[in-house]
Amino acid sequence: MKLYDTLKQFKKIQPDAEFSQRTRTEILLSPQNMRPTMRGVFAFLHVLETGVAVVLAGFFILILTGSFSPTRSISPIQYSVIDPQGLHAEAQAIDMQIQLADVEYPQTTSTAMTGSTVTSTASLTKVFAAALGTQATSSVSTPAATTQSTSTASTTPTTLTVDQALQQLSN
Amino acid sequence: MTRSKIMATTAFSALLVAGVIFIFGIVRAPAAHAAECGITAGDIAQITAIQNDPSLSTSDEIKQELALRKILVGDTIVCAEQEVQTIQTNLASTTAPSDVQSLQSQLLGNLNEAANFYDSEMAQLNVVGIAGTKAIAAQVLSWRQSSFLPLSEGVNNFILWAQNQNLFSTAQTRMNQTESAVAFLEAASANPDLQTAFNSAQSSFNDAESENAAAQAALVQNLSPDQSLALIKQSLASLSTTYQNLFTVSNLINGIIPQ
Repeated sequence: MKLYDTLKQFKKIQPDAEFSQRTRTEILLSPQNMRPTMRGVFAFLHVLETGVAVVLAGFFILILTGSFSPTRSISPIQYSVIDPQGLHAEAQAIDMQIQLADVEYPQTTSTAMTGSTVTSTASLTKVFAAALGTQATSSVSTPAATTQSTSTASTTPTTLTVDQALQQLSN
Repeated sequence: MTRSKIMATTAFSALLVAGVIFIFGIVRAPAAHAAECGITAGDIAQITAIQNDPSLSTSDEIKQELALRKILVGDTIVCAEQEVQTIQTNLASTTAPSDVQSLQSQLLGNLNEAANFYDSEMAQLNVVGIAGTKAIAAQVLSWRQSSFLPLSEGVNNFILWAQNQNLFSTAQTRMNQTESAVAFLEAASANPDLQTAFNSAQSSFNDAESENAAAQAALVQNLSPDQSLALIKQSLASLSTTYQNLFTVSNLINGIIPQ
């Protein structure tokens, strides 16, 4: 029984104040031997923490300035559904495509073009003269050709379609 | 809606419309330009002028008429070749869905054959007389009516159809968004008008999609260009009806939800 009492007295053993202060100082001053992987994780968490802080700050700035409407972004009804301008633009694009489909193939139509005949005739005469050579050149400048050229320039010129030109040249 | 938002939406609409006008221009305008030639009625009249020129001997008259006819027929064929090149460029620059790209390649091949035909006729032009130039003109004209015209119309239809696919894709996205919105509102509080309007939109969109698929089949099966074009027009008309119904849905939703 006496031994038991003695052992209970051990609970009251304490280091003296000087020892406690010295050892605490030594422990706090000793280098931290943290594993490299743990250091990386802490660094990542630190960056993440900073990033989250920045994002939250931006989010609150957007809300405060009115540039972001939570009800519109989080709402199950997307804004585009009730946006008449967007709908109108899309409908207009379809109407344009319908008009495009209605355009008839232009091959069968003849379009008058003014101003091109004189140049065309002049250049044609030039090429024609070159093709015939010197003797023919004098023939080209005969009154008939000159008269034709002049009369063509004075009338309303009509540019032919490929098929119209072929039709006339086949006769 | 704030002023800046209205302006942004308006700018987007303007851009979209401008884009369509731009496509309209680059697709159709070159075709119209290519269909015309530098040859005028006055140029053709020069043949008659030579024939009626009393100062020319018979030999000179024949020489001049032959030379003029060769130039005119040659220039006309050059115009026709430029027309083919323009169509080829438009077709090659068209973005088509993967399941019709083989058709696009086939049409490009057909256009190459057309260009080869013109080259062949142009080569023949060098060795023929007056009757020969007339025969070549008649042959090219006949070939154009029987072969090239359907081909070029088919290519135009293909390009038109390919362009429509973006419109259908946009409409599908809008239908999905609208369907979600209608389902949400219907779950909160039943609204027969809203559901009816959306059903109409869905019905016309289904019609548009089936007509669009039929147009694709007509193009692939090389049906007549008129048939393909009719289906394309029908699909666009149904798509337009879809948007009219979507306007109704949008107005109803705007009236339901708080602004």
